[in-house]
Amino acid sequence: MNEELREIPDRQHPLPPATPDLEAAMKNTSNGPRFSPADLQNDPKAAHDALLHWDVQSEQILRLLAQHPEHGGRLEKLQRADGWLRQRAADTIVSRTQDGDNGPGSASPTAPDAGLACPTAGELYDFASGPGSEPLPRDRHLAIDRHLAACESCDSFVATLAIAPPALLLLGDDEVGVSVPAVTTGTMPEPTPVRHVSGHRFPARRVLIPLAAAAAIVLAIGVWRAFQPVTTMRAVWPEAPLLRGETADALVWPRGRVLERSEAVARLAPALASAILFELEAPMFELEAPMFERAAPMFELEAPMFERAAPAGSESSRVQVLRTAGGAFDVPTTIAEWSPTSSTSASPIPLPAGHYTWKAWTRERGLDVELGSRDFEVVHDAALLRELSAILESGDEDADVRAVAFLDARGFRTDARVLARSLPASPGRDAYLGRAPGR
Amino acid sequence: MEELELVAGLRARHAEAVQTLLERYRSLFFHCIGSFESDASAREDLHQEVVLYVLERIDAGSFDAEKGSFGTWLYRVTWCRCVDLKRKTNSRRTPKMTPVGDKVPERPDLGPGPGDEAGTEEIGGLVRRGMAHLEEEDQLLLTLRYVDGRTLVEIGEEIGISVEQTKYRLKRAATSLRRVLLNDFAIEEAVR
Repeated sequence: MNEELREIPDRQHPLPPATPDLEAAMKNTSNGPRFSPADLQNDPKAAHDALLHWDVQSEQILRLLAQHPEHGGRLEKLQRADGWLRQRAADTIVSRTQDGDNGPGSASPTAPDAGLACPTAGELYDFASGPGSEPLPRDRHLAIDRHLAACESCDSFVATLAIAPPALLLLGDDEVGVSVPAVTTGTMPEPTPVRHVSGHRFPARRVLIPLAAAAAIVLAIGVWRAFQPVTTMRAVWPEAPLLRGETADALVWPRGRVLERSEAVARLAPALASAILFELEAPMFELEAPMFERAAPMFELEAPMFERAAPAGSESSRVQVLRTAGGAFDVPTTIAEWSPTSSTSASPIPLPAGHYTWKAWTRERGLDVELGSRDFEVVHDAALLRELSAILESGDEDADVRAVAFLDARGFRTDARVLARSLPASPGRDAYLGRAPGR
Repeated sequence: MEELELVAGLRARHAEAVQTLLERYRSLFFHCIGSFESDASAREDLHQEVVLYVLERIDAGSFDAEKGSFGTWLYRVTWCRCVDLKRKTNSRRTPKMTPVGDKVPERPDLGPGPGDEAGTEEIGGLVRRGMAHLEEEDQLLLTLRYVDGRTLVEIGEEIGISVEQTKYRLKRAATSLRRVLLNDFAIEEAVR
C-alpha cells in the first residue's frame, strides 16, 4: 500500500503519546458513545464512532450499520478482524492444552477444546465479581480469563456486569422485625399488604444534609453581601434587554402598566400628576447635527448632509383611546379622540383604572394611514406606591434614579420615563430616554 | 414486607407478595434485562420469563437467607437466566441447514472452506498491518492477550499495572486498532 495514500487528512494518530490513565477502568456507563438511528444516517462522525465501538452498540444500531451501503461492509470487516484476533487466542488455548501447559494453577490435563467450552452463567458471574459472587478456584479463574479472549459472547456477557445494579426500592425501617412465618408448618400466614411509601420514611440524613448545604450557601451569600462596599448599591439607570429584530411600531407610549393619576400619586411624585402622555414616534431623520459633528473627526466626514423624512404628504394625525374590559373578546368603546399637533400629546380626559387600547392614524395625501394600536392598563397599586414612597422619601442623593429603576423594573415604564424626564439632564438619563422600546 | 415474609408469600403465590416482588425489584430486573435486550417488547417478554424462573427457583429452595440478601440472590438469578436465554436465542439464530437432496458426508469437515480461508488470510493481513501502526504498548497488549493467550493478571504483572488498568488499556488498544483498520478500509474503497 502506498504510504502517501495513508496520509489522508482524516487520518488520526491512534493515540496521543503518553496519555495518562485518568479514567477508571470500571465505570457506571458504557465505554462507547450512544447514538440514535438518525445520527447514523445524518452524521458520518457518529457512524464512525459507532463503528469504533461496535461491540457495545445495541442490536438496533448494529442492524442499521449493517444495512448501510457504506458502513455495512466496514462493520463486517471489523467484526471479522475481531473474530480473527479471538481465533488466534482460541488456537493458542488449544495448542497449550495439547502441550499440557494449562497455565499456572492447572491441576490436570484436559481435552484440547476444554478451554473453548463456554463457562456457565454462574461462573461468569463469579468471574466478573457480580454482587454476592463467590470466589472461583484459581485455575478456573485463569481458564475463564483465557476463554474470554477467545469468546466474544462470553466477553460481552461479563462486560454487562461492569455496571452496578440500581438501589432497591426500600419501604422503611419499621418493616424490620416483622415476625417470620413458619414455612414448615404447612399453614401459610397471610402476607401483609404492600406498604405505600410515604414522605416521612426517608432517612433523616438524606434530608438534613441537603438542608445544611443550602443553609450554608444562604449564609455565605448573606455574609458576602453584608461586606460588599456601599458603592455597589449605587443606583443605576435601567438598561433595556438586547432584542434581535424589531418589535417597535409608531405608537411608543403609553404601553404596559401605567399608574392611575390620583392625589396620592401627585403628592408622591409631582411629575406623575400630569395627564398620561401619548407619544408617537418622531420622524426617523429628524436628527440633530451635533451627533454627526462629534463623529466627523473620527471618520473625516465633510459637511454631512441631513435630510428630514419627507413629511410633505403628512397633513395631520389622529389618536383614539378605547376602553375594554380586558378580555380577548370584549368590544372596545371609544372614549376619547383628538388630533395631536406634535408627536407627544396629553390625554384630554382622565383615565381611571382599567384596560385601554389606543390607536393612531396619520393623514397623507388625503388618505388615512393607520399607524397601529397598542394596549395599556391603568392600575392603582397601593403596595407599589408604598414602596415608591419609601424610596423617594429615603433622602438618598440618588433616590430619584432608584425610583425610575424601580418603576421600570416593575413594568411601569411609561411612568418611569415621565419621572426620568423631570430629572436633571445627564448621560444616563438621556440614554434612558433615548431608548426606543422594542428596538 | 420483610424478605423472608416475601419469599414465603411468593412460594404460596400470594398476590400481594408477587406484586411486591414486581414493584420493589422492577429496577433490578430491568437493569439486568436492559443489558441484554434493546427492544422494548423483547425486554417485556424477557421480564416475564425471568420472573417465572425466579418463582421456580424459589419453589426449589434455591434462596438461602444465610448466604446473602434476597436482592443479591435475585440479581444473580436474573443475570444468569438472561445469559442462558440469550445463548439459547443466539444458537437458534445460526441453524445448520442442509439443502434437500444433497448428500450428507459421514464426517462433515468442520473447518473453514477455501473461500473462508482466503477471506481469513486477507483480514489477518489487514490486522497485522494495522497492528504495526499502533503504539508499542498497544501492540504488546494485543499480542500478549490474543497471540500469546495470556490472562489479564499475567499481562498486568508483565507490564507492571493492575488488572483493572490492563482491562482498560486493552480496550483502548482494540479501539485504536479499529481506528487504523477503518482508515485502511476507507483508503481501499477510495483506491477502488
